[in-house]
Amino acid sequence: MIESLTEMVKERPESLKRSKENGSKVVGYFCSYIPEELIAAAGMIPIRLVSGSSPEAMLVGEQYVKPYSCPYVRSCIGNMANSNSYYELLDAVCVACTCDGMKNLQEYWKRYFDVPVYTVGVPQTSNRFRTRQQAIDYFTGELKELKQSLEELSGRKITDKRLRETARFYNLVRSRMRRLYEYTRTESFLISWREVFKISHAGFLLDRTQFLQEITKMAETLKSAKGIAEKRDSKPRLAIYGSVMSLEDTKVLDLVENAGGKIVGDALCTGAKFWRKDVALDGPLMDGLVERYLHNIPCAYMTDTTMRLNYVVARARESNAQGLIYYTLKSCDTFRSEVRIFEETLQKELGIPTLLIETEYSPADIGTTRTKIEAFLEMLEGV
Amino acid sequence: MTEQAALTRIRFDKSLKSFTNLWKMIMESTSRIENDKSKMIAKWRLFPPEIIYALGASPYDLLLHEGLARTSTRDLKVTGYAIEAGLSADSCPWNLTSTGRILAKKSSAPVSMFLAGAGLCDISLKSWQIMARQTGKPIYSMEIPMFDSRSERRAVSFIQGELTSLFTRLGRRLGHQYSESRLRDEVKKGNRVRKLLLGITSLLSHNSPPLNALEYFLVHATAGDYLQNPDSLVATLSEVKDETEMRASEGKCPPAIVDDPVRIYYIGMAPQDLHFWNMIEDSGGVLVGCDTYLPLFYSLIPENGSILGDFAKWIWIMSHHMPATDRAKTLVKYVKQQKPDAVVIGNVTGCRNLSSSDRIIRETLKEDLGISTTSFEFGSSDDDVALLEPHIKAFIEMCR
Repeated sequence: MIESLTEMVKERPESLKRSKENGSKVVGYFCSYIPEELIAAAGMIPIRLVSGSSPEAMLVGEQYVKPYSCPYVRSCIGNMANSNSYYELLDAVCVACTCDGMKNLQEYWKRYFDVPVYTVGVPQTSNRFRTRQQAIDYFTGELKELKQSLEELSGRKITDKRLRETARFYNLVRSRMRRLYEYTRTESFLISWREVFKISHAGFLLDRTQFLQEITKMAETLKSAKGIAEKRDSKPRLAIYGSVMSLEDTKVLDLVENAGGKIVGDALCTGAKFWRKDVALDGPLMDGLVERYLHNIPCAYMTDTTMRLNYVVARARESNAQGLIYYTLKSCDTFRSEVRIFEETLQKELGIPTLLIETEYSPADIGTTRTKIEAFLEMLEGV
Repeated sequence: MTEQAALTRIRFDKSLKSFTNLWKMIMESTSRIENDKSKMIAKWRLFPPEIIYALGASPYDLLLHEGLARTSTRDLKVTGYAIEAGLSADSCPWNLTSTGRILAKKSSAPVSMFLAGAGLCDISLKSWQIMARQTGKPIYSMEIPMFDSRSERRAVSFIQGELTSLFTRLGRRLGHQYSESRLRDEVKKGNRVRKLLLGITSLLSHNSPPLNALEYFLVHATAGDYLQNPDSLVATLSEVKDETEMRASEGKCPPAIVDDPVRIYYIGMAPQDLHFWNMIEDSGGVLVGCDTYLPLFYSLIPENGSILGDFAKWIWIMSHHMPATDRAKTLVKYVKQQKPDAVVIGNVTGCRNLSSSDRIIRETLKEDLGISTTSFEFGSSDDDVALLEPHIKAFIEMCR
């Protein structure tokens, strides 16, 4: 079902080149706190930069940041230095200054690469009782600043009308994606979580109109195919949550599948979490953007652990997961340090165990990771 | 001074009489609070302590004191408790140590609550959250947005909001009503400490710096919590200043400094093993400044205007939360004042914050100062620091 999307992703750098030749500008962004509606409303092409997982890029990145810093950040810096096919097309990049890694990333890009970098401060205490309003005010100011920078870059004013149309369009994309995710948890087996996760990644790169057409077609196909579901299999059902899982980072997913497990739900910022929550269209648009992006499910960088916990528990519950894979990149302190509270809560709330997988983009730990996953699945199957 | 077995390999300057009192104050921090009966709030390293004093509580620079306690007891096993609680084994040793000591109940500090810094250093905030959760003690946080000159107005107003909210929330918990006049009084006391630290630091810019590296590091680290008693600290630091001033006026150098030493400015987090500071002199150098705690006394906090607004503005331009290039540019002024021959940047293995901006700091300082600059990398073990010795020696030799 997703072959045509995979083909489109392969051809995307070429089609972006053509768009650039025709005068379009490409703006990359890091982190799920950047509203891509602003980029699109300025008439530019947004691309979420989720390319990681290349050991070569990571090594190049180590010439800039320390080897004990986030592997995703190392790869992103390395990708730029290595002229990755997407990165070399960028006219600007927007960075949400969330964790230490993202803050470092924007600094190195600013200093060493010839691409304008627009930073957006994200209040870490955004959901704290009593100070919520000041976080909203601060973030609103940051987004207004970003809007202005994007207008200057594109030479085009982001009008309210244009922004509203764009937000409506993105809401539609999000709702279609949510519908696809629904199929992964209804046990219909018409489409696997892995496929929807790949679709999600394609959505960060492809032309959004084309992407919407494709996922709409898929949703229709799935709707008409209802009732001819495959037989339910007996594979252990797993939910996955944790650090950013980049486009090519398939190591853990492959190991789970090869060991006989099945991922049925996620709470990843490159997965289900990204498509959650719409922008409210009935008030001032900037307020809608702030609410959607600042008060979505918080990244582990944010102080609100409770909201995060509730969401992961809900995702695990609705996907009938028998266990949680807590995926964390080495040196990702924000996610790594919360593993115990997730482990305890999932055990208490759902009676399911958690497996911590701490890894990076290197094949060196494949053996130990495989053993861990196999042992975990055996435990779930009661072997 | 060297009664703890593990400190015997560390060389203090015994001829500096006034320092004995300061060291005693440092080592007796926890018992002083117990005697005081005030609530102890474990604070993040670079939080201005006035915030806590203004609410009638005592601040405790957890990383410094627990780091020193670990060094003096050589109890390395505590980090296992922090790892078990969720911290990664390869994260910042200062946080691993202090979290481990609290969770292992090895710390003698009667901590009542935790005050974390948000927006500054991920591992630090997470460690504080873990300690609070595991010990069942309350946690409060104060956020400082990332420095960016274009967002100054809203960031300062954000910090002011954070201060107000913190005073309200913490004040309610402590049963202590916040008042501007109380904050002003505490800022005045803090400024007296700052004035002395700036004065002592300026003595290091003399041709013959009158303080050894270890003593200076410990002196400037008192900015972290004023050792729970700003008035006593002022008295003790005044003695240190008088004695060092006397030395300076007589052109005397501390015993360990060689003739014509290479003048070193130190930037970054410090190693936990205090022996590191002795190595500077043993390798033919002399410390002329250090930025580890400088953000807490880089200038005085204005006392006469709107205290909350001025305090917020002062916090906003503390260098530690600036992006690397801004931080380096800000530091240049302070480094220059000390007339160093070379700059050493210390990187703690596992620090994803300051250490990860090493390359930018090094290059910017080199460009702006035109002097030799090097970076050292070290972990938490004493062996790590011992391995630095040849590096320090070679660097100082090269600077000659």
